[in-house]
Amino acid sequence: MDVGNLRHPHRRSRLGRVIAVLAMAAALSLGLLVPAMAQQPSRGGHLTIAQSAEPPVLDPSATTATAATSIVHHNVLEGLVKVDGNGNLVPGLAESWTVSPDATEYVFRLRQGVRFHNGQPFTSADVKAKFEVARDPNSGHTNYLYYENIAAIETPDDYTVIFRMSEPDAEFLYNLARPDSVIPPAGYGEAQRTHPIGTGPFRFVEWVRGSHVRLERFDGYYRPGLPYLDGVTFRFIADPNAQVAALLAGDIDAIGGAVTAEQAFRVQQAPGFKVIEGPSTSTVVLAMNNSRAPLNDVRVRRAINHAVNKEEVMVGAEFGFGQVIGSHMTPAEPYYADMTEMYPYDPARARAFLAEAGYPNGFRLTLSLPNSYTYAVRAGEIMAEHLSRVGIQVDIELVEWATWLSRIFGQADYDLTVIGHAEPMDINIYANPNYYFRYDSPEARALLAEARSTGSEEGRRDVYRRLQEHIARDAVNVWVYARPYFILSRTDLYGWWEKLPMVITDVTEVYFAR
Amino acid sequence: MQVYLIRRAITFAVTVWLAASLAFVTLLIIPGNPAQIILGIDASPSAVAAVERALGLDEPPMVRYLRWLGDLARLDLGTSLVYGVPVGSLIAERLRVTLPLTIMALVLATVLGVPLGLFAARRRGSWADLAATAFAQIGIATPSFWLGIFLILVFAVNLRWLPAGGFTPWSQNPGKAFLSLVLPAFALGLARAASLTRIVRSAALEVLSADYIRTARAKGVPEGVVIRRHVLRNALIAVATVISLETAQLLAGAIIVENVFTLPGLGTLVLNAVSNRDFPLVQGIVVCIACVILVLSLVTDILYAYLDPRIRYS
Repeated sequence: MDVGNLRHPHRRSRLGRVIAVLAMAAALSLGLLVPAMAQQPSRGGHLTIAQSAEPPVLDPSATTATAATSIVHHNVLEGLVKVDGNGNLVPGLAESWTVSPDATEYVFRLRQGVRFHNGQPFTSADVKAKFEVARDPNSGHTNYLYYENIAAIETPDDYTVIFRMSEPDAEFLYNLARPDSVIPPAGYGEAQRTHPIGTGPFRFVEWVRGSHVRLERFDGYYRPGLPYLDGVTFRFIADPNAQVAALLAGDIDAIGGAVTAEQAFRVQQAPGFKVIEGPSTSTVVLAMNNSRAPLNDVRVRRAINHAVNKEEVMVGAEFGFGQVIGSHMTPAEPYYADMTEMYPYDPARARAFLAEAGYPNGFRLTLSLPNSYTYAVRAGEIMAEHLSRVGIQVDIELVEWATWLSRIFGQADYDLTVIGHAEPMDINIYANPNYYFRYDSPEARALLAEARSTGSEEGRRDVYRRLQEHIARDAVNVWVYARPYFILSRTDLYGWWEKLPMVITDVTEVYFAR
Repeated sequence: MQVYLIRRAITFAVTVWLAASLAFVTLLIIPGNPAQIILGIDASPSAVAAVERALGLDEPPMVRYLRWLGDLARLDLGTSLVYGVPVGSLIAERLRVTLPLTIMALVLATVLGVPLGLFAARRRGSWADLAATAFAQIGIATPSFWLGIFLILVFAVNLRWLPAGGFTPWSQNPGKAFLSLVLPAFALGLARAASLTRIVRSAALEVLSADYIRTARAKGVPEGVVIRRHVLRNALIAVATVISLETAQLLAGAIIVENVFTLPGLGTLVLNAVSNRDFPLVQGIVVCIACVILVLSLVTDILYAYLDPRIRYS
């Protein structure tokens, strides 16, 4: 059956084809191929960029909210390793590193002469202090699981750090590039939440709550000539219409973060502005509660996978921007494998699966949608319609974000929901039976453990492919599409990231053309 | 008078306590965990538990409630769970935006609504009356967020006379601070001006048909004096009541308008506080708004006695 699924030719309805063409026309009409670099970068100027959400705190080791990481990660705070705009791991505060073949020992050579924004020199002591806290499950650090395999941190001198792992952990290097792994000056403490100090190209100046965060160029930055800008202001404008109005009125220079396709259309039509669009790591899923009947039956979940027309969802929710996916990784992530052929849109097959599972007349489910995320609400409404075509009656329930977090994410009290998982490389959630999917698979856990202990790049690629295929075969969720990443900016601003392999607004190399 | 004041003071305290308690209970009933909201979706459960402990959320609700009440008695509103800043200073900071905005909107509503209402009443049935009534109807029916966006498009995007949103602090540039409140004040005040026009018109019509107006006109009092001394003065009781009620409406309307114009005021603060389940902050704002409204109703009552010498409190 599974192999049959894989081999089954990708069938597309006529409507599906029409929509695909429309989507392509939409993409072309936006003229998205904007050249990245027009001329020589020039120094100076103050950039004001809007984002919709204000973060609760500004320290990524105290929050995973992308509203916080988008401002401070890379711009103010840095880790040993960074992900660049193409998703490659590049040196951050470490200038080089070696990993033992069994991935149990990581040796980092730190950059010399680096200073924090408060003047304190950066040394191995700061690294040790950071990760001693991070690996303590009781410290309140966002995610100790990234660091749980650290057995010992040694600092033979000021510029060498050795991590000894209790078991092979090939994920560790990538985890060090996450926002959670940024390094503050040792002993700075709680103040990091509101007045972050780091080593990045910009230093924090002020946070006027309800209004903006302002950063200024850090003259002591270790990369010569960078940054180009004198300063950056991140302004919090919740309403998408107000964001576009502020851009057109010249109050702000760009819109980043959670930009919608409607905004992109409006800005593209206005002279003097441009739209940058690329892939992001945000995986939009129709999540299913795998522990609840009838969703605990894999045939029912496969039926739902066949019932959803992903192209149509993407057109309705994102004006056709984005990319259809088939498992829990996006093309912006390093080990992406294409699984889109496994469940082609096929209502007849969906009905057959339902009949086989003993539900020839369908059943009734509740789809809970987080009302603050327009794309999720729209995608959910369209998928509810798709499911009703194969006999599954869906009651839509709109829930507020805090309720979603507590009831659905926290207690798994739901049937179906739609949400974008923005975090890159988060396929490990399928190894956690308590995660809100309530998916319990020893095979998935074994595959993840294998990925962690595989040092070689090709080996890891193979294991991750098998893992993506395994969860897709189990039809844990419907992986609908990868969300598009947009930057809407004045035409004379250059140096933006073209993809979003990490959810940040890195303005290190952004400049105004003169 | 003394007994009256004591009675008012007791009512005041009880109302504030009830309002704040209601806010606390509501936040307890609706789902949502501030620790999870701070940490976000990708944090580990152990981190959530650690933050809950740090914020004191692991204590029973009754203990938290009583501690908060004790602090309130000492005029301490506590610390915001999410921002980690004293609630009092957060509110004081935001009032610097919301208070001037509300006052500007109120002044706008009054200087537009009162003359327009009087004007319409004097020319009852004329095309001018019709126009004023139409303005009132449309003004009341227009949602403030729509009007806000409309004003931004016309005056900020097309004409570029005023900023599209945001706020320049008073300390930095008072002129710019004022300018950044002009469009929001219009978006907020226009509906109130419209409803005031209607009330003033009907109150004035009632007075205009009274016997003493006919008497005044019959004895040759100039029309301007009739309107000022007799019509307006007698219609003012109704108007004062309405203005005090309108101010409460303005504070509620500020939540929407501040969001459209992204003003760092009390409205955006309360919205964030509720969606963050920031208990002390929500309660603090509720206490603050309750106080403002109670003070306002007290001022209105005192104003009644001034406007109408027949009213006396004992």
